[in-house]
Amino acid sequence: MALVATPTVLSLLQSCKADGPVFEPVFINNSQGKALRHIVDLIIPSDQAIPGAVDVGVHKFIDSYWNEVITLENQAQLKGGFDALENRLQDATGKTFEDAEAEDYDKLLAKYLNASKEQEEVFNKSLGEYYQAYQRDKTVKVDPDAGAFSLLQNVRGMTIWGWKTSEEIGENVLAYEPIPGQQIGCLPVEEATGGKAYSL
Amino acid sequence: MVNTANENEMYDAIVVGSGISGGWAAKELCENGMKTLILERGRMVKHIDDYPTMHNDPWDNKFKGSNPRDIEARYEKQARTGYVHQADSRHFFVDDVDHPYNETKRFDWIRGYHVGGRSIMWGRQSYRLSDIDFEANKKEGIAVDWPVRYKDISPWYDKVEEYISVSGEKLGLDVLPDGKFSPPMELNCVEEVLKKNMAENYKDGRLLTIGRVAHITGSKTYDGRSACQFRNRCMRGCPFGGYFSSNSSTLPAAERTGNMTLRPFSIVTEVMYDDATGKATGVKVVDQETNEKLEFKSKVVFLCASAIGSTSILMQSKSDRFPNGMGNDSGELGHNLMDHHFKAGATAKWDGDLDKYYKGRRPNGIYIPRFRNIGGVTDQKTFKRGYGYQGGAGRGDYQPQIAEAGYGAGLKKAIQEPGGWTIGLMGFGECLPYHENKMTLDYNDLDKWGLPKVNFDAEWKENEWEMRKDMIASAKDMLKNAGFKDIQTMDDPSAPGNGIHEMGTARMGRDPKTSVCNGNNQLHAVPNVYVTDGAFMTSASCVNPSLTYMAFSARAANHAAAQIKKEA
Repeated sequence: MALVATPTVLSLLQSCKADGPVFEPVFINNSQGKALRHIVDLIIPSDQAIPGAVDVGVHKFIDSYWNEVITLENQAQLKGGFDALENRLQDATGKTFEDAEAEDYDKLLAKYLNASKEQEEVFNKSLGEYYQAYQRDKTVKVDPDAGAFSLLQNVRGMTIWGWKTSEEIGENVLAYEPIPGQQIGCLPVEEATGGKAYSL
Repeated sequence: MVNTANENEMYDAIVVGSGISGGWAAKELCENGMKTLILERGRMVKHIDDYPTMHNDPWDNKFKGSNPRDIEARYEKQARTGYVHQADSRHFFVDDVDHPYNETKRFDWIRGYHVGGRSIMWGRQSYRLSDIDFEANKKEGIAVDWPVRYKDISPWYDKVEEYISVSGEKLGLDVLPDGKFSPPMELNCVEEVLKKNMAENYKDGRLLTIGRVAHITGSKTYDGRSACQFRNRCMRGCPFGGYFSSNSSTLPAAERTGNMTLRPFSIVTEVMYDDATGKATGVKVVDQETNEKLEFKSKVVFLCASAIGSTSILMQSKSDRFPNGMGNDSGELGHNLMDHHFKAGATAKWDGDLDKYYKGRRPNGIYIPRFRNIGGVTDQKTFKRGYGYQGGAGRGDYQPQIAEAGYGAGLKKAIQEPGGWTIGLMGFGECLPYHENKMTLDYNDLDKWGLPKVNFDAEWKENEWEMRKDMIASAKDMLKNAGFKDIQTMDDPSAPGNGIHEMGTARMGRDPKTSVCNGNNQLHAVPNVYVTDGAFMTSASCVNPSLTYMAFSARAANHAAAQIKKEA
C-alpha cells in the first residue's frame, strides 16, 4: 500500500527533484540520464495534487527496463537515438545533455511530440528507410531528426505506461478495484469511477 | 494422498495426467469406488497455496509483467503466444530449454507441466458440439465418421456443466446447443449496439451473445468454490475458485472419496501390455526429479496427458503385438493433428457513448456462434465448415488523446480518464482433419529423461485459408454496418498449435482399420486403455473443446467403472 500523496509529501518530492540525489542510471550514461529525467518530467509533470513521472521513479524504471529487458539490438538503436537527440539539442540550443535545462528540452518535445501529422509521416518514412538499411548494415546511422523523434515517442510511451502502472498512481489516483466483486455491463462514467480510468 | 503410490498395489485405475480430462476421469472413477492412482509428470500445485501471483498488481513486478532477457530466452516457443510466459503466469508454462521439441513445420506446443495442467490457465470458454459437428465428416466424406452423436454425449454435458458452473445465455440454436447455465454475464453498451444492429441487418440467423464461460455466477453453491469476483486474473489461479480447474474442483472431489492417490513428478513412458490377455497391465514411469524407474499396475489405464502427451506414450508403448505403438493397427496414431485457426477478423473504434463505462473486469467476451454452412442461405461455395467470433468492446485506447495533448499537463489529465471505445471480432475456425498433418517421435534426439522428442509436421490448407478470408470480410462487414469507425482488418495465421487446442492424434471411429479409439474412448485393440483428452477428437468443430473433453472423460470413466464392476 502506497502512502497517500498529501501536499507535504509532494512538496518534499518536488524539493528532492531540484537538488536531491543524483540519478545514477545503469544503462544509459549520466548525462543521458539527466536528459531522460528532464524529458519524463516534461511529459508527465508534477503538480500540487498528483505526483508526476519523476516523483514515481519512471526515469529509473525506463533505464532499468532498457538495461535488463529489451534486446541487444534495441539497446544499440537506443544509444543511436540518444546521439541523434543530443545532435538536435545542440542544433537548437547550442547545449549538450550535460548543461541543458528543462526549457531546452521543451523546444525538442514541442517539435517531436507535438509534430503535425504530415511531419510525423516524414519522420516515420525516414525511420522505415533506416530500419531497412540497418538490416543490411548495422553501422548505418539514423537521420538525427528521425532518431530524435523515435526516441522521444518511445520515451513517451514508456513514461505513460510506467506512470499509470506505478503503485502511487495505480492505487491512489486512478480508479483502483482489486476485487470488484460484481460485473455491470453499462453505467455512467460518473457513477462507475467519478470520471477516472480504471488502473487494472 | 500425495506420493504414497505403491508399486505392489493393484489399482483399479491409473489416470495419466491431472488436467481438465484427467481431473474428470479421476473424480468419476473415485466416486464409483475405484482405487485410482493419478500420475502427473510435473510438480504439485495446491489450490490457493500454490498461486504465488494471484494478488499481484502491475507494480508488484519489477518490469510490470515483462521478463528480463535471460528469462525470456528460456520461453522461446511459449512466447509465440505473446502472453502466456509473462511474469504473472510463466511458472505455469514449460521452460522450452528443459522441454524441447522439434518442428519440420512450425507448431506452437504451449503447455504446462504441473498438477492441474492447463485447467489452471485455460480460456474457460465452454461450448457444446452439435450434430452438425458430429455428422459433418460423414456427410462430406472427410476423414472418418464420429462413432458418437449428440444424444450420446448430451447427458454428460449436462452433468459437467452442472458441476463446474457454466455461465451463459440460452439461444435455442441447432448449431450451438444450450446447456445447464448459470446466469449470463452482461454485455457492455457498445457490444449491445453491435448486437442490436446485427439483429436488424442480417437475415441469416446470426446473432451476438455473451460468452459461455466456466465461472460461478448466481447463487448456487459449489463445493469449496465461491462466485467469480471479476478480477480477471484467472490464468494465475483463482483464490476464490471462481472458475473451474482440476485443482479447485475435480481433484478435491476425487480426494474426498478416499480412493485417490496422486503422484507428481511421474513421467509415464509407456503402457505395459500382456499379450496373453490382450490387455494393458499398468504403466512404466520415470521420476522427473530422480530418474528412478517405476512400474504401477492397474485394471484400466486412462490417458489424459494431452493429445500430444498421450499419443507420445502410446507411440512409446511398443511390443511384438504393437511394433508401431499401442493401438496403432490403423497407422493413424499421431496423424490428423488439428487446432483452431484464429487471429483473423477486424477491430474498430466507436465514437459515441463516452459518458458510459462498466464495472468489474469481466473474464469473458462476446460470442457470435457459427453462421456459415448450416443450411440454406448460410452455405458457402469456397469453404467447408465454419467459425465463431470471440472478442468484445472496451475503453482504454488513449492514443487519440496523446496525439492531441502531446505532453505536459494536458496529457497528464487526459490519461487519467477512460479512453475511447474499441471493439474487436476474432474468428475461431474449424480445421479439417488431414492425415498428413502429424506428429512423430524422433528416437535420434532424446530429452533429458532419455525419451524421444516430439516432432511436428502440420500446416493450414486451402479450406482454412479460404475460411479466413470470410472471417475477415464478415467481421469488417458487421462492424461497418453497425457504424463503427477506423476499421482495421486482422490476419495473423501464426501456426497450428497457437490456438492451444491441439487434438485428433488418436481419433475415434467406428472401424479399427481407420481409427485408434472406439466410441467409448477405448483403444479398439486394447479395451482397458481409454484416451479421453483432445487426442480422441475425430473432427475439431469450431468451438473451444475443453467442455467436450470433460464430458467424454466423465462418460468414459463411468463406462470403465461399469466394466470393472462387471468383471469383479
